[in-house]
Amino acid sequence: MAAHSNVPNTQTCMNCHTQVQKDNPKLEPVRASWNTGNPVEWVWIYRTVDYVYYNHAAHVNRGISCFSCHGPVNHMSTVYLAKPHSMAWCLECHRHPENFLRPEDQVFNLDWKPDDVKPAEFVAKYGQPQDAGEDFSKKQKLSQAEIGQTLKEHWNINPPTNCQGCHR
Amino acid sequence: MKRVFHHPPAPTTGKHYWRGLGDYSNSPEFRQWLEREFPAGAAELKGDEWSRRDFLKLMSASMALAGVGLTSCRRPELHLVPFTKNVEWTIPGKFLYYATAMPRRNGAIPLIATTVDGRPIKLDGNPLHPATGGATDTFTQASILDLYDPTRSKRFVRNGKTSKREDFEAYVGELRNKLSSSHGDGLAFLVQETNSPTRERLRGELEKNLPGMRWCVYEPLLDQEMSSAVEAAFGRWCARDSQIRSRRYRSCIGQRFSRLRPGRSRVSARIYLSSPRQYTQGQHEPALRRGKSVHAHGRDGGPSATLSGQPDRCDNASSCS
Repeated sequence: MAAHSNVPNTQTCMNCHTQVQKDNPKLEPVRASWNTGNPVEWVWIYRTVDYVYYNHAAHVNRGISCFSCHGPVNHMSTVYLAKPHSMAWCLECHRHPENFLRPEDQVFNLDWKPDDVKPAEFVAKYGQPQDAGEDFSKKQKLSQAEIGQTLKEHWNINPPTNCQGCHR
Repeated sequence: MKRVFHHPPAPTTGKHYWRGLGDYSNSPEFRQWLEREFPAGAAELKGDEWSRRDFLKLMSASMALAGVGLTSCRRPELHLVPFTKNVEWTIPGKFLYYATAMPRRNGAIPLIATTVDGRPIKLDGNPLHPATGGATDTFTQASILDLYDPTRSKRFVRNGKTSKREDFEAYVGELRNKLSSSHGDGLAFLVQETNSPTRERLRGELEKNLPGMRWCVYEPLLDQEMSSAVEAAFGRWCARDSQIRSRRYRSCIGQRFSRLRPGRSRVSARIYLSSPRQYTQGQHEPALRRGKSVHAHGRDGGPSATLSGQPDRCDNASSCS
């Protein structure tokens, strides 16, 4: 996972789509681009302004799912702006990341729910918070706060809330 | 809400205070003027069922309703436009560096060009090159803007009008026929000084085909004095390579150390060129005092590998008559 969010060029799409679903009408813009040489104009939904430094890798590699910022993209017929992407919204998570963290193998699973976590397996892999009053592995279910706090301590997550964290 | 002020009507009983001398005199001229200036009922549109205020209310309401459906209140739709075909060697989000050089009058400055998506965005000195050790000067740093100069030529132009490539080629072909029939008589090139081997090669080819042509090199600031001095001192043209090392006192007559120009050699680079990484402002002189070598080249003082073996040619305007 790279820091930079890239829009793949037509050549990358056509690596496969000359063979796979090569007659799908939904791919007509891509084929047209390949035939004419003009680029595909993807609508820019999530626009991060130039004075904000955003690193995808830092988030995705530490248990922040696509879902947290982009919403249920897998259920959208047309992609829309699901989250405000304002500074207050960013800080909401930077101040309390435990409300959003999830195991890193579930980052790309947009339908993930905290109930999907099996407490015994989870605790074996990530442990549990220092001041947890009870043994998490014995619990029936774990809440998002419990999962998040565990992961926060496990990965030593301490997101910046100062200005120059993002406005470098 | 804006308040509408009206003068209270004059009291019918009690004291009547006049509001001005005209009111006091109450002459027919004054009454006429008053009627003209403040006609009674001006705030109402007479002869219509709508008053002026009602009309404005209605218009503002309809404007507000129209605004509900206005799509221009949203941000404009922007597009992400990736490449159709990938630029060679690029990795998205990563810089790609190319070693290059910026030609100068007496040499070239070795550079590293930083490119993003195939577009150069920054020039730095090439730190691996022994001539400059990664130093550049202000002109080199600023030259990156030349690539994005809006007045940069983008098309063929003839007499100020857009032309076609075919027209240009036809014109050049015609010119070539004309010149080769006269063996280059009447053809003159006015060029700047450079030690580009490519240009020298092209010049040689031209001279072979068009022996009558003239090749004139002109620089507004040729260091004629220095080369004359070197020639007078050593009997022939040669490149100076001044070694200033472990000297306690140095003097420089008629020339400043800082006048040693960029792109001449390593040497001048050491003094003249500055790079934020290696030489900061004001460090040059202390570096010299500590006994760093300072070289200076004469007329053709570029990298000697490029120039060695070249005969001394007619290469300035004064000797090209």
